[in-house]
Amino acid sequence: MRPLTCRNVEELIVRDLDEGLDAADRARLEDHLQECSECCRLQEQFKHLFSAVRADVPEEPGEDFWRMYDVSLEAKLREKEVRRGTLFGWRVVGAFVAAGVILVAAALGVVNFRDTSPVDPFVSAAVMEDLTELYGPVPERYSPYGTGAAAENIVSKVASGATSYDDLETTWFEVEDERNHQFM
Amino acid sequence: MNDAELVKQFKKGNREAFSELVRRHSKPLTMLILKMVRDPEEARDVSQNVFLKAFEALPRFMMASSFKTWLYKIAMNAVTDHLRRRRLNVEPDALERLADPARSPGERLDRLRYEELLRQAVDELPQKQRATLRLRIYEDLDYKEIARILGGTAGAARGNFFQAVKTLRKTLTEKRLGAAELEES
Repeated sequence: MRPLTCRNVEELIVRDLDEGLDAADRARLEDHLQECSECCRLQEQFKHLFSAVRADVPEEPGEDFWRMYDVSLEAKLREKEVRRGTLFGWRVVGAFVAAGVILVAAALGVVNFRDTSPVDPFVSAAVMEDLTELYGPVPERYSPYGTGAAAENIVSKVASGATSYDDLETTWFEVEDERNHQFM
Repeated sequence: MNDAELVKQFKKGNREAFSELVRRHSKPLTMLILKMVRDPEEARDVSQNVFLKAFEALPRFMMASSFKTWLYKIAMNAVTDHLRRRRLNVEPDALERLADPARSPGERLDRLRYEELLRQAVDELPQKQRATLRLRIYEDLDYKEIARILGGTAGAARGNFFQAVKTLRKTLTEKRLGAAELEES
């Protein structure tokens, strides 16, 4: 085993004071310290430092401190619970108010729930007829909505109200413009 | 009932389970904080804030670590925040220690000066080294546990401890030599 040098003895001294050394490392350290007064001084300084840090502990507060600690912490926790409960209460009230507003709006006809009704196949067919009447049959390669199932999907979107005729028209002419009026 | 079971009980709505966790951990936690902030009133406030934060966050605690590790993690962050807000400049019971009858006046003065220098030197350490030193020496935690609290690996925590001790020795030696030279001149 290699003998220790002064450069790496510092780490062994600290490890010895901190976690302890195994027998081999301890023997190496002791061998070195017997021959090196400088490292002996270093070891003394570290010993002094460790005991000073360990001794630098504030006095434990008395019984009154802990009693007050428990009482005031419990009060703070209760306050937090009350605030949390109040917040929960406001959330519940808020949810009821929102539901009430929606119901009133529906009753007054501001919100039209029919827009979200499921797709009616007769409506789909009617929409398809309207589209054909407006724009004529569209060659598949120019259709911005794809072909087959995708093309049918746009009909469903219009019928269900997810896409309006206005949106459809805007999209249609944008595509038309990009294609340099090839299909009109 | 162990901590993990108490946490489960609290999550199920048993408020008393949290009080039991407080009873178990408040004293050692507050003492650790006191060793760092060195003022009992401030230590109490910081420690209580840690429990309030824990109370809020416990329903979301996934138990990836032990409750104690998690709590100490919150505490270390709280102490760092607290110390950042105020510069540590406290000299508690200095006169009492100066009046220690077991030592001669010269020895007492020397000891007091050394302690002052030591505290200054510890306060000047980088935050992670300082926290590692305290958790290792005051709490006697192993490096794995320190790494879980402060983040990083056990090897890095060991390295931080070594670096902290090395820096302290060097700083104290230089400061004491400097002070001795000033007295002689």
